Amino acid sequence: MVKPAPTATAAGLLFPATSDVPEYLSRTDHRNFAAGDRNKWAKSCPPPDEYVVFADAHLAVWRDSRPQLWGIAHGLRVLGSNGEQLAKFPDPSNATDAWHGYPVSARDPRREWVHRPEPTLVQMWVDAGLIDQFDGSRIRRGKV
Amino acid sequence: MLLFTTTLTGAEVEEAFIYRSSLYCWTYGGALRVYEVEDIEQAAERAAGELGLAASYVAFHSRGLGATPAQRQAIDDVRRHASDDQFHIDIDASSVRHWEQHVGLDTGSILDLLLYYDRMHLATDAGLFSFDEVDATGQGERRLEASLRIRESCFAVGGGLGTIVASCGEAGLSLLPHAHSREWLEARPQKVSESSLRADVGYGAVVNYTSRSEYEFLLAEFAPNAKSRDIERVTRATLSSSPQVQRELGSSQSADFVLWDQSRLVTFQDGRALSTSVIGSGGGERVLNRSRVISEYTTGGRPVLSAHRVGRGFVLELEDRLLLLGDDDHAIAQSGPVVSIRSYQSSKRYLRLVSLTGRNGIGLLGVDLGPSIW
Repeated sequence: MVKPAPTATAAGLLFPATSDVPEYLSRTDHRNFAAGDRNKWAKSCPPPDEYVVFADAHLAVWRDSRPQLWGIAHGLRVLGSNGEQLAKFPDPSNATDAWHGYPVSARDPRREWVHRPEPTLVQMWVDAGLIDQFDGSRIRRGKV
Repeated sequence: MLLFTTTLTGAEVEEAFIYRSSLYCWTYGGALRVYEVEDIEQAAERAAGELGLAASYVAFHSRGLGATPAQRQAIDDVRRHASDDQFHIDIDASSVRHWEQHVGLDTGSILDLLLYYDRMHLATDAGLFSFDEVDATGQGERRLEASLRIRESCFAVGGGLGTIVASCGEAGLSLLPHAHSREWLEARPQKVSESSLRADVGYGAVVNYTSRSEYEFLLAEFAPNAKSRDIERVTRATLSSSPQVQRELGSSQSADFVLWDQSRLVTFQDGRALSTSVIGSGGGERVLNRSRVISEYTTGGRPVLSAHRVGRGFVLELEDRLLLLGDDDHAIAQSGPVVSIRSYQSSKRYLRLVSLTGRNGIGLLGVDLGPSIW
């Protein structure tokens, strides 16, 4: 995948739209300033990698019934600074807004449902070879 | 504290539940697979000799129930002479006799499994399925027939006080009474709560967990003059806490996990396991009366995903390991994540057993807290 060159903005690094992938903003507040330890991208997942997670989700249409895309890296690679292995990219409020996202975990307190992808999406990841049945089962049980 | 881990390696199994003298498993391919405990014990002895005998004694024969003289001798020898406190035995699962039957259900994922009064209950994405008269001795010759009892995705299933409790996430908690009788077949689910992650039944109550650490207390009412103590209905209790409990527990938001166990609430938070007594104060009111610390542990900041009592201790599930909490110490029982894990505190025979499904296969952990207790 060819990653477009980002430009720095006050809100973060903005990756311009390509013919296949919409504009994406790697927000500073989901790197440095988000409250607590959760929902921040890990140092091992810098903005260009974050962009790839989003682009993959967009191109493969990794959605369930909720208004967001879900991100995952091969083999459940850690994406978040608190060990999160999944990411969410909420649908932008306006069509002209850039997308953004953040790492999530169903292990977070009181997030057992909202941070748990629905089973058909998890099966898509298994069928695509991104994760095996063992990890798929753990995701379905809210352990990831 | 001694820990014996017997692993049936290579078993690609999502769920495992030991019941009577058999180990019931569901494979990722949607088949029911059944092993006889006796066959596992023989395999353990072939694989590890005296250690295998000792492991089987601890895992499958609480208080020595049904143990052979050789197993009793083996555990005595190990307790007296072993220099280690953790033992591992690997058995190739394909070398252990079993039968398998593809049930052909369109279940989506299997999320929980329960055997209760000789019926099997399967919590799945597609709902709660139940199977009558699961008969391991039939060696799979009788075709298993499933009945779909609840049509919403069912994340967990439990049983107690003659009742099945089905936790269906944001579709709520439903009770199915008469789980031990023929009336079960006609029993209709009673929805008793709007949200449920899991539920525990026992000691006169159904504790419904709406998250890992938040719960509601449902008091069980029983039919008058009934021959058996089946739940007829539940009512939501008003819960309050004594000042001592408020000081010890603080906000429920800091808790990782809560468990209703032996008529007490056990809370795991900030590296402490706290036991809180629950007393009635009249009518539908219950008071969390007194808390005391029963164990301490370190998790390296990882939350507790589940907790399971085994004997007087607990096994805690973290994202990447299991911790074993004894009276005075704690240890890593297993490295690596698991899919399912359970203990069997309602069983007479398997009180020291924890079964799990891991990446390597089926783990059968026998926890030995010493001869004076078991």
